[in-house]
Amino acid sequence: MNINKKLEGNNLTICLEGRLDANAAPELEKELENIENIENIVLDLSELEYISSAGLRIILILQKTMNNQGSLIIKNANDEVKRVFEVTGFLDILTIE
Amino acid sequence: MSEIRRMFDEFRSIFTSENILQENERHANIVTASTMLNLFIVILIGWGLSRINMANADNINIAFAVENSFIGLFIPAIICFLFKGEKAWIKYMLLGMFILILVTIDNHMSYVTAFLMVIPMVLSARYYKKSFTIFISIINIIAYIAFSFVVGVNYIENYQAIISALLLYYVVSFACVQISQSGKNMIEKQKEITEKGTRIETELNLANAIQKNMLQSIFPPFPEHKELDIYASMTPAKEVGGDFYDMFLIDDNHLAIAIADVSGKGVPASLVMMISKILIKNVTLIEDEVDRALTRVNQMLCDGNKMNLFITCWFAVLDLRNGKMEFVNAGHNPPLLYSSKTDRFEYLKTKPNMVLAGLENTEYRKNEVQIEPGDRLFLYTDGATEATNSNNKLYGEERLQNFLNSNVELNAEETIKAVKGDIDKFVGKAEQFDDITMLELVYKEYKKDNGLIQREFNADVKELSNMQEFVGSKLEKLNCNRKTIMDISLCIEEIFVNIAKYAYKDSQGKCSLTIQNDVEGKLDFIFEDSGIPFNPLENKEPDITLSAEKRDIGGLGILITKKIMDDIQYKYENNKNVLKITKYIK
Repeated sequence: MNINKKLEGNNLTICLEGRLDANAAPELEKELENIENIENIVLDLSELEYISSAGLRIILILQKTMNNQGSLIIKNANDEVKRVFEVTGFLDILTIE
Repeated sequence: MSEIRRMFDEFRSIFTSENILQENERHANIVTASTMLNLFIVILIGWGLSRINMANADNINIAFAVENSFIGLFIPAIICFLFKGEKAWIKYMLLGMFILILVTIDNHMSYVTAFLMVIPMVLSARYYKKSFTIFISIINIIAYIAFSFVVGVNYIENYQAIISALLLYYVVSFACVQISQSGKNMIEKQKEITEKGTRIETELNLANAIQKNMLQSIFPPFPEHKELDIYASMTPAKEVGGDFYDMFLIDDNHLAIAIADVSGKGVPASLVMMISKILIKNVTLIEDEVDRALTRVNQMLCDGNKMNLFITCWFAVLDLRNGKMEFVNAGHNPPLLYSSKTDRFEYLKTKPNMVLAGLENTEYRKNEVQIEPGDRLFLYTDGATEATNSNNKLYGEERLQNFLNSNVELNAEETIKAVKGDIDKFVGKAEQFDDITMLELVYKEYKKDNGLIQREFNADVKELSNMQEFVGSKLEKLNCNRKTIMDISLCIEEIFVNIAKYAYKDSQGKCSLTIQNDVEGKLDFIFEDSGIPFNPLENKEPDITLSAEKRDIGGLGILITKKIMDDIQYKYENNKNVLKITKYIK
């Protein structure tokens, strides 16, 4: 999976490309280590074709963190990814555009 | 283990040859004791005759002789018989008493005396121990000389008679010593031959075991092929046989069966049997077509065959999916084919090819037959049909066919055992002179193409991509749509990652995935691991209505799987966690 980060001030945009599975998750986790000063995170999933519970876990932790720190917006999730969010009740927890 | 076996065999051969020496001494003791008994009876008769005044006993006091010989001949002989001549001291006791008695009965140094003196010496030669013979000869002469002194024989007066007696005595003694030495040589040779024989017998038994191992003896040989019932047996005439049968899967859809008979019996035939069996299997696994395979095998056998042993063989490959059977008959007896339509066994007669290892450059031709579910094939070697009873009558082809036709309700194993029993009954006490080999195949039904494939993976998250590849290639073959593939792929990950992370705690383990497609449109994925017993369906589902703060990060994998797959089942069986997830596909 490819991770593209773009930092503009306190706003971080992360583009995920490929599959966010159990093997790719640790990589994403590492990228999200130092976000204490970030206020707004946008997760762009337009190139993401697959997500599993390993990825959901990271997003949940991220959401919990950003709930105290700022905002997290999920953008451009495709149908399959949205379906996973729906089945797991994540649609209600996340802010999806 | 083989070390112990070797030592046991060596010990056994020593034991056997020691037996020969002991046997020899035992016989010698019996001979001596019998001779003593005979002499006692002669003396008794002499006493009897003298009582009725029919015999004249000159220098011998008959009554005294009877008493003495009872103690000195009869009693020792009985003692010897009581111990069956098996003790080492018996020979000394027997001959010692014998000499003593002879000395006391007749101690005059006359010709008669010399004649009697010879008997113990001759008997001692029978023991085939030169040292013993010399010993007895010396004891004998000493006893005589000693006793004659006691009695007061006048040596000077009778010196001529004494000297001639002694000379005669010496000559006979010399002869006896030579006899005992040649006897000893004979015994040594016998020992050698027996040891060799024991060694050869041991090796033949080992060869028998090796040969037995080569033939499929575990039945059913292909338990996962429920469409087959197959059984075979080979009974050699000697320790090792020249017949063989073989059954192997060329691939999941093709079964090869063979039966063969090497000309001859015993060790040479068994060696050729091993080579041929290995060649047929190995060449068939490469060559594909039955006729080409046997042509090649024949060529290889002819190349190395200086022994002029040929092999008759009947060899077939059956397509399990449709019952199409291609076979080659290389000079072998025609098998019996049972047709479920006619409910009868009939001989499948085809023009035979040349035997194997007969002629170089032989091109073998195959035949084809279509068999239906319920049909059976019975292969045999001529040891069965040519089994002979003591009236020189053969079991015969007709009897075999009739027996099979009267027993169609038996399964393969029962049939083979019943036929063997019938042959044994027919042959009775006559010796089995040829190897008897039989194989039966029951083709119960067409092989179901259940598309079952299975692979084992290390229970490690790093293996996830391998597993996805394995699943992906199967789904591709089934032309699933993209959404289905994604859904299945997701559930595969969820289940596998759980197993990889938690089943074996800190140690390594395996996880196998079986993909089953036995019903059209239904796909089962079965995960098996031998880790901690754990039923993922038991846990409470996470509450997906909770807010982010309250949400737990666990349990999502199973939740996803439950929602996406059409069925999940768990069981703990044979010390394994078995989790089956099912998806219906269009």
